[in-house]
Amino acid sequence: MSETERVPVIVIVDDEEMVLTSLRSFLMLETEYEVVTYNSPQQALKQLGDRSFDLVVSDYLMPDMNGIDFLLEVKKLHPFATRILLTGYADKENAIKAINDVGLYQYVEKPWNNDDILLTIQNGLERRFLMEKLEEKIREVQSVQQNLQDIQAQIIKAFI
Amino acid sequence: MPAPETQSLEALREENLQLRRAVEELSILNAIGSAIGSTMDLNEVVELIVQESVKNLNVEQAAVMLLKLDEEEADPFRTMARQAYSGSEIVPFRFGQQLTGWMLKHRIPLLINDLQSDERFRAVANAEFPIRSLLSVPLRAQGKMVGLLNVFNKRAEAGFTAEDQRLLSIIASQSSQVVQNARLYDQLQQRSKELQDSETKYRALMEESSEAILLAGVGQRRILEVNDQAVRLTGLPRERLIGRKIGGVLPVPELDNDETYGRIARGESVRVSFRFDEGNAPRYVDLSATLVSYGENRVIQVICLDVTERERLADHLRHHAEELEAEVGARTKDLRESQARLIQQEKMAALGMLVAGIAHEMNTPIGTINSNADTLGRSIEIIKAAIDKESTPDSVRSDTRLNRALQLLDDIAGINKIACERIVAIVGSLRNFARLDEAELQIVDLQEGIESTLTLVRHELKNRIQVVKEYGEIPRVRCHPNQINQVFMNLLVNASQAIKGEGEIAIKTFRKGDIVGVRISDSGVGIPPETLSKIFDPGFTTKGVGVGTGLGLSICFKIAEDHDGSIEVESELGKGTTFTLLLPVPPDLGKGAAE
Repeated sequence: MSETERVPVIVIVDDEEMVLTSLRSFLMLETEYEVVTYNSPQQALKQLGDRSFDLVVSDYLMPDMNGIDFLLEVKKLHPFATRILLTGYADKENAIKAINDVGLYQYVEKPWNNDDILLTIQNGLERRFLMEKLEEKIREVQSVQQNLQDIQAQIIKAFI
Repeated sequence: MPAPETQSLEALREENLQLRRAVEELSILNAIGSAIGSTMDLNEVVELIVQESVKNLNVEQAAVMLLKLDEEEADPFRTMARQAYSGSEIVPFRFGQQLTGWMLKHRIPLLINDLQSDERFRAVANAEFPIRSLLSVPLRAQGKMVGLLNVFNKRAEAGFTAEDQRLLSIIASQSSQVVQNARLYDQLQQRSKELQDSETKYRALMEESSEAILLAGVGQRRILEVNDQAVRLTGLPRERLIGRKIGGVLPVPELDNDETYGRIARGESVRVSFRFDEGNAPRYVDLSATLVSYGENRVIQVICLDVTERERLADHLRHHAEELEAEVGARTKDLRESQARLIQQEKMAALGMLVAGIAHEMNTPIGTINSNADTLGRSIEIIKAAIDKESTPDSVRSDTRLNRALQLLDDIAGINKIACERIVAIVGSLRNFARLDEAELQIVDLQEGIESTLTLVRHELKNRIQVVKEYGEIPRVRCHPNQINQVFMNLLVNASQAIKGEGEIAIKTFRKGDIVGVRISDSGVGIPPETLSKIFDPGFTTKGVGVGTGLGLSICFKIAEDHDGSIEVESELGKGTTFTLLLPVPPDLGKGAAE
């Protein structure tokens, strides 16, 4: 990650404070990411609308809302953010189904391996940035095309 | 005509007449007397009296009317009597109000020569047999009136005289005793015939009877009579049975002892059952001995009912019953085994659920510790590297990674502690739930059990079901905690499965008198009324093959029963179901708790 690139923002949602603390500590040690944590998906949704972020890791089983529903809402707020589901073994089937139905990037099983989750997050961010770059390029192409069209229009005007 | 001669002639004639009368009387007495010797037959005696009366009194008709024997003093109007007219058989006759009635009332001789003009007996004169005159005298024997001797219509212009009355009275007095004797004899014969008849009847009954009957005398208690069945039963000929004692021919010596005999003599029926081994095959006999009348005597009647066939059938039945019992036993064993298998399956299913619950609950703290261990390892590497570099305070300050590593140590340590505590709590819940070390009856707090169980099923409820707890003040109860927790587990899992989407489970504990209750209500789909009655039946399931064993609730029911408690269920389709576990408060633990 080059110095010129902006700091990626990671959002972690889990009703268990210990999970949030563990993941935050690990990511702070090993990465430069800005880590934002919420212990309630409802609360997260309220605040995420007002800020930008690049990747969301969400627990599946939570009291007020399950992780799949939450990530579906996240998609509506930020379509390009990468979404990862953190799930217990018992919910694996649900998670796999959700990946197809909701279009999740990946799921991570609890108990997780730090290296694995880091790799998944890095890949997810890369995808996120590639998507962003792709979008940027498309926008550039579109703007160039617009410019070209403007110039063309001016030329046509000039000739007329 | 010399007067004395005439006189003496007259006297002689008179004397002669008297002599003749005396001779007549004597001849009558002689005739009647000889009749006594000649016959004891009543008909003949009466006929003789009638004939003698007609002949000696020179009348058209004579009749002997007899009151019923032994009823001479009875109400005349109801007294059946017998009468005999000359030349007719003795026929039944009712003493009436007229002539016979008068005679029965007055009991003195009656002489009427002009019946037509007699106010008393006008009706008699109009009878079929025209009576002009009559003479009636009572027949007496042993001072009692036994009947009347009547003569009718004197064949002489003068009618009946005092002389006639005297003569008839003599005939009456002479014949009364004869008649009475004949009647008594007649009666005796009648009685003896009746007795003979009854004896014959009894003998016929005895012989026709399918039971062996032996009659023994009351004195010597020796056998008087036996029937063919008795001969068949004992295998002894009749002549060898007669004269012996009952105990000598049948294996019932008690029948010969005085005590038993006394009971029979008092009218008691003595019953004895015995096995008779004489003869070809052993026979089983039910014997009853009673005192009965036989002819004029009383005898001991011994009836032997051969119950060998009955015993054989009973034996057969017993044998059959034993076979059935054995089969039932074998089937029961099979059933027990398959039941044990099913229960084992249910236990495995419950265990599976438990394991899933525990695994899920453990995932979070273990995941945390696992991650933290790795993070700590990395931090230690960073710290070690920083120390190896012969670091200065400045270099330390400027080492961002080192600072971060040092910074997170506290957090990680704190979180690890919390995670470990969580694991300890889960294991504690598991132990509390299973209470493997406490198979015996324990005094426990049901709410603790509910809490432990909730921990283990939390993952089933967590994201869609709200648990509302309303714990009352309840005394502790005596129970097998692992079993009661199994009930909670079952009810809670059922409740969560009944709720298809989101919903609520309400858990309420309460006390009502000597009963402690735990009410678990869900806001689920409810149970249809037709199913509600079957939910506690073993093997009944609506969950489909492979999901439930159908034993969960039946086991809950059994557990509740084993604790002298019960499980009640109420349900409304679409609204939810409530299960209530009711357990008795132990008498020694009920004090002090809120009523």
